[in-house]
Amino acid sequence: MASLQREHSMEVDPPSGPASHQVATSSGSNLKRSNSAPMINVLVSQPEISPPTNTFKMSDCSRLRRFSSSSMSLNQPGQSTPVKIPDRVNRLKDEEIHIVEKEKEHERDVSSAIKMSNSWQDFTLDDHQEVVCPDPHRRPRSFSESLHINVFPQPPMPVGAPSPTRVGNRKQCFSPSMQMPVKSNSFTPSPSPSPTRKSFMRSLSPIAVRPSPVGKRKLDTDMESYLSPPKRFQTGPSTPDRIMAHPLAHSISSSSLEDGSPEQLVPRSGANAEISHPRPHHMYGFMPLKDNSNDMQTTDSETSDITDHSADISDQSSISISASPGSSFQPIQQTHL
Amino acid sequence: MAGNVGDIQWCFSQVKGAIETEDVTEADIISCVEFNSTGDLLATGDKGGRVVIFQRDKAGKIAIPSRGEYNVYSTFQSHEPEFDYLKSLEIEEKINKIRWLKRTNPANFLLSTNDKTIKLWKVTERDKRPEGYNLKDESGLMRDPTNVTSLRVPSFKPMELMVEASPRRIFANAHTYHINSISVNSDQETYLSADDLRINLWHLEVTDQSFNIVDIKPANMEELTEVITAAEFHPHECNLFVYSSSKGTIRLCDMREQALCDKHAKLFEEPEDPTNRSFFSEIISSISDVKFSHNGRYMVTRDYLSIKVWDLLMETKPIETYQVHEYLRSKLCSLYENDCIFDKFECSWSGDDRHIMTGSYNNFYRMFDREAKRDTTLEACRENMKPRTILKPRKVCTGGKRKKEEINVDCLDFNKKILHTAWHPLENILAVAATNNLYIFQSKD
Repeated sequence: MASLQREHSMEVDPPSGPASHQVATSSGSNLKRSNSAPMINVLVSQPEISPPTNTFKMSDCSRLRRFSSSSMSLNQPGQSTPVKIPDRVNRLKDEEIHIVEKEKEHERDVSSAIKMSNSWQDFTLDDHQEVVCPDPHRRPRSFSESLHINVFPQPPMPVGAPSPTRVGNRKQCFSPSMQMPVKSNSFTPSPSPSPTRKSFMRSLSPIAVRPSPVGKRKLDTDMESYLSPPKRFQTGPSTPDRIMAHPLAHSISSSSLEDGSPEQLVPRSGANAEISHPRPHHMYGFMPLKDNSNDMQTTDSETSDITDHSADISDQSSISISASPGSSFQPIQQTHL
Repeated sequence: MAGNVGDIQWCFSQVKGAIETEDVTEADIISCVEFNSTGDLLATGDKGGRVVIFQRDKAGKIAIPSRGEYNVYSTFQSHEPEFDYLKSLEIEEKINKIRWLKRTNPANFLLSTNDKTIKLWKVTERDKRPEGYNLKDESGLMRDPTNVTSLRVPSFKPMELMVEASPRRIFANAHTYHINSISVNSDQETYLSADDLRINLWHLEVTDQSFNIVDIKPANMEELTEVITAAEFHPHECNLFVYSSSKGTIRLCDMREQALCDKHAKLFEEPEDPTNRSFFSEIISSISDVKFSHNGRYMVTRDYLSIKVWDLLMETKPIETYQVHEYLRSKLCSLYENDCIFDKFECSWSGDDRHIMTGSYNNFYRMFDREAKRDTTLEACRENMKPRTILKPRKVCTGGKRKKEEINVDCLDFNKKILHTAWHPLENILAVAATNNLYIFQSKD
């Protein structure tokens, strides 16, 4: 082992975690070691996996590594362990063949999560009529159920085709000159939007906005101090970040670093240039327009006060509103893509 | 300009994105880069499911020498994270691929896909707004109907340009495995989507049906040995497409032969070099990207260490092979440890098919001149941003003696990898994605 290490002298940064044992033996070296076959089946991470011949199958080696990873963390096979198995072939095999074990594990996780979430229900302070005496055994209605959605495990979202109220089907507008997303209200068919209607929330679905009274405390503090975009399902806290200009709007151009080259500046004297030129000096932050972020704040607090009943109406109204701009505004284009 | 004809001298043009700090927010990591067919629009997708479209500054384009910078034109949230209840799996919102449709009307269309769902987005501009309503006054407040004494017809007045993105089609629920490629057919009416084991053919108008044209799933999953890694339609022949596998083979299929194209029309495979055989041979032979040349006669494939150009008429071996980072061959073991050996690099053709380029580590990217048989290594970094300054080529040394300006292979940063690149279809402009930054390079002239 020591001689091999000297031979290869690998100094590429080894990852932290159980995988840091330098598997130095198997890279093209002709060193023949007797294949200690029992080692392959042992569910412990063994550093030495020496190929007996050159035709040692890669898949076998991966299988060994997979076992070693699952012995590290039985709860999350291959998800966020240090030893990831990105090799698609083996991952697919694993998924299909060991699907029963995985299902059992996940069931365990889910049922413990549900138990925890049910225990939170005992702390409910809110007394919405709709949700009077929350029955832990009753499956919550998906859209209007505000209390039980966001705590555990994840807000229920439909697979595949989203509903019309979801962000996916709404127009998203952007103003290149202001470099900001804007509300798309140029053609509101109703003269004044319904007060209960949630304003333009680009990156959220109406479901996920509503924090439960229980988790409200937790989510609120998260939102205030939240700086980085969400892990997968906290689409709530992601709003302030996403509604700001995309990080790629920060731009540094070589021409903007030039000292006075008029023939280059003049053609871009439009609004675009004004935005892109000052930007190099504000590399570290981009202050969103005040009204936009305020919009988000008021909207969030609004929605937390909305009762289930009005939420239903607003959902319906948003369904109708999002459909109509397509139909009333540009009828010709409907036949095209 | 000194140098041979065709020798491109690259200069920094722009960099988009925040300064790379220690902790890059994962949602900002760019996951795909794609020019549209004219090169005026450049779309990027990121891990947070957002799409940002840059537009080339029109005025700069006609200047001599043509400059033209890319500025943000539109940004929208394309995909949201989802949860598959049936399989208890999270579906990432990361945008895997973006493909543009050719423009036929004032709107622009693009397809964007995550692991499971493909969406067709329509990107339109609006620069007029109706004014002069009867029931609403200028500030949007309702007018008292009793005060309205005359009627007027609202008229359109110009307003600030607004770019709207709306999803026109959502193609969902057709893939069991993760979608890795989409490719629009030359007929501009159909497109294919490929996941690990299957390829589906869609019509852009129809969202509830797709045809399965390739299925390599074995009856018994224990026998699974390879997966599909990339697929693309031929640029001119609407019946031909290729798909590459994790075993290093490329199959060309003709849809005219049969409905299910499991049987390939051509199989491109280079016999393995026995001297280079190692434990990792199969892993590094996995093809991460395949692209047809613009003229449709060649294709380029990228495996872990090399990039190969194939003639479609010759199946036995590639006509050209270029080593991208041969100095990593002795480091394969460590790269296997830190999973870098599974990185999927993309490759691109230049507009005239004379150059090919691909990415590497340490924010290096490599370009190969097929005619002059020359290659260049450049770095995507924020040094040397002065205008019209030619970028200095970088070199990696493996041995003990390190020349000045060279970097030792052990000092390479394997977290700074350039996986996604795009070459403008007509000009020598490169878009290179380095983690969360997008670099744009132009040739000097």
